[in-house]
Amino acid sequence: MKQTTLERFAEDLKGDAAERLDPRRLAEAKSRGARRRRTRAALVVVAATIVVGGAAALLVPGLDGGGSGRDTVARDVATRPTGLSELQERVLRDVPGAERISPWQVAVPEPLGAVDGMEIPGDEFEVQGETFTTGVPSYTGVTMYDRAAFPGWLYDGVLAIETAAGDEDGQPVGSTDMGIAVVNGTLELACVSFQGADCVPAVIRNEDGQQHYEWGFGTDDFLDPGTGLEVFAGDAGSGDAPSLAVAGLPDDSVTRVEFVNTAGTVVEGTVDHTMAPGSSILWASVPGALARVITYDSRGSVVDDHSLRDCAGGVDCEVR
Amino acid sequence: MAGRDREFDDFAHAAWPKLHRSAYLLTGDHHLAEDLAQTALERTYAKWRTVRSGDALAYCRRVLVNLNVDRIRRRRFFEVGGGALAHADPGAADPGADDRDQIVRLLAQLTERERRVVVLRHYYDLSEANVARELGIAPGTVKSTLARALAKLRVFGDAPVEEEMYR
Repeated sequence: MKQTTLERFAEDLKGDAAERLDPRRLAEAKSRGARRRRTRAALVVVAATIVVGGAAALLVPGLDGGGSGRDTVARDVATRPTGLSELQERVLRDVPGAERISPWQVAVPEPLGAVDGMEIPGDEFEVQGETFTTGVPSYTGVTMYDRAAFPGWLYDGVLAIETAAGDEDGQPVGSTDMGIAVVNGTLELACVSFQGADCVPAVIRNEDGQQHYEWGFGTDDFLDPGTGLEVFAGDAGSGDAPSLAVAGLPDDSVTRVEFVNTAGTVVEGTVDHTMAPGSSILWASVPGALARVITYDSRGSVVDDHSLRDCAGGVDCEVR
Repeated sequence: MAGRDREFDDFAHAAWPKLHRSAYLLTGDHHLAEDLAQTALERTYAKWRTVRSGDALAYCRRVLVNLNVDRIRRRRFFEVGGGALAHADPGAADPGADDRDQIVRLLAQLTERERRVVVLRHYYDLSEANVARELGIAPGTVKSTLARALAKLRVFGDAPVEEEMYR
C-alpha cells in the first residue's frame, strides 16, 4: 500500500455520495418511527402496571433505551390487537374475497386496476432458471391506494385509525397494524439478474403475471464459503398470519428442513439446490414469529440447528 | 401531509446520501448500511418534534454511530458488516475495483473505534473536540486514535503525493 495525502484521503472517504433515498425506505422509516413513538408511550403505561403486579422482568427491559432486541417482545405484548374490530367484521361481511388470515387480521384482494401509489418502478431484472411459487401472499396497506379503489367506509375507516394513531408530526400511511391488509400478489423465489450480472436468489412478487423485485438476501457474504446459515423472515406487516421465511447456507447436503415458530409449531420447508449451485436455499410459509430452523441431510442427521438471534430495528438482524 | 412531516421528508432526502455513505464506511456492507441509515431515520422521526428545532443531522448521525456500536456489541452468530471489513484484505487492493470498495478495504485495517473517529473527523468534518464530545472520549484520545489510524493508512498531512497513491 502506498501513501496518500490527508486531502486525497478525505476526498476518497466522501466518494460521490449520490445515493438517493428510496421512497419505500422513507415510508417504512416514518411508519416504524411513528410506531416507535406510540409504543414507547404505551410501554410506559404497561410497565408501570406490571411493576405493581410484581412481574416487571418481562416488560421493563423494553424500556432500556438501548434498542435491544428484547423490546420487540414488549412491543408485541403492548400493542397487539385481540379479536376482530367492527370494521374488520364488516370487511369480512361486505368485501368480496375478504378472508380472515389470523385471529386479529383480515385481508382483502387488491381491487382490479387499483394502483399502489407508493409503488415505484424498480430496475429491470431477468429471472434465470426456475421460478418457485411459495404460495405466500404479499400484503400491503389500504391507504397505499387511491380512495376510489375501495368502498368509502373501508378506506375512511382505515384512514381514521391511522389518523388517530398519528400526531402533529404525521401519521402512518399504508399500515397493516390495525389488522386489515390488501393482498397485492403472491411471493415467489428465483435467481434474479440485474443488467446481465450474475444472478442471485431473491424474493419476487407476482401480481397478475407481472413480476416485481421485492427483496434480496441481506448480507454481502450470504452463501459465501465458510459462512453459516442465515435466515430472512419476510413481511413484518403480516403479523400472525403465515409469512415467508427463507434460509440459505453454503452446503448442498441439506435434503430436509424444518421451520419452527415461537409457539413450537413445526413447518416442513422446501429445499432447492438449483438457485445457488453448491448451496441450499430453504423456505416455508410460517405462521407467527419464526424462532428456529433445523436442517437435515439425507441420512437424517442434523446439518444445522439454528435459533434466530435477537433483532432490533432492522439492524444486524436476520429479519428484513 | 402535515408541515412537520414534509419538513422531515426534506431532511431525510437531503441527509440520506451522507448517512448511507458513512454507514457504508463504518460497516463495509451495502445492505447493512442501508438498514442502518434507515433505522437512524426511523429513530429521528420518532423524536422529530424535539430534534427538528436543533441540528437534526447531528442527532441522526449520532444515532447511526451508536446503532453501529450496539450492532458490534451484540454480534453473535454472524460477522456481518464488521465481519465484511474484517475479511477484507487491505493488501489485496484490486485495481479494477471501484473507489468505494477500495476505501472500505483500507478502512478494514482499522479498529472499530479508529474507524469511527476517522469517519467523524474526515467524513463529517467534525473538529477533534466535537468528535470527542460525540463519542464521549477525551480530546487527547481522539488525537492519538486519529494519528494511529492515519499512520496505519499511510495518510500524511503534507507529504508529497506519490504517483497514483494507493490506487
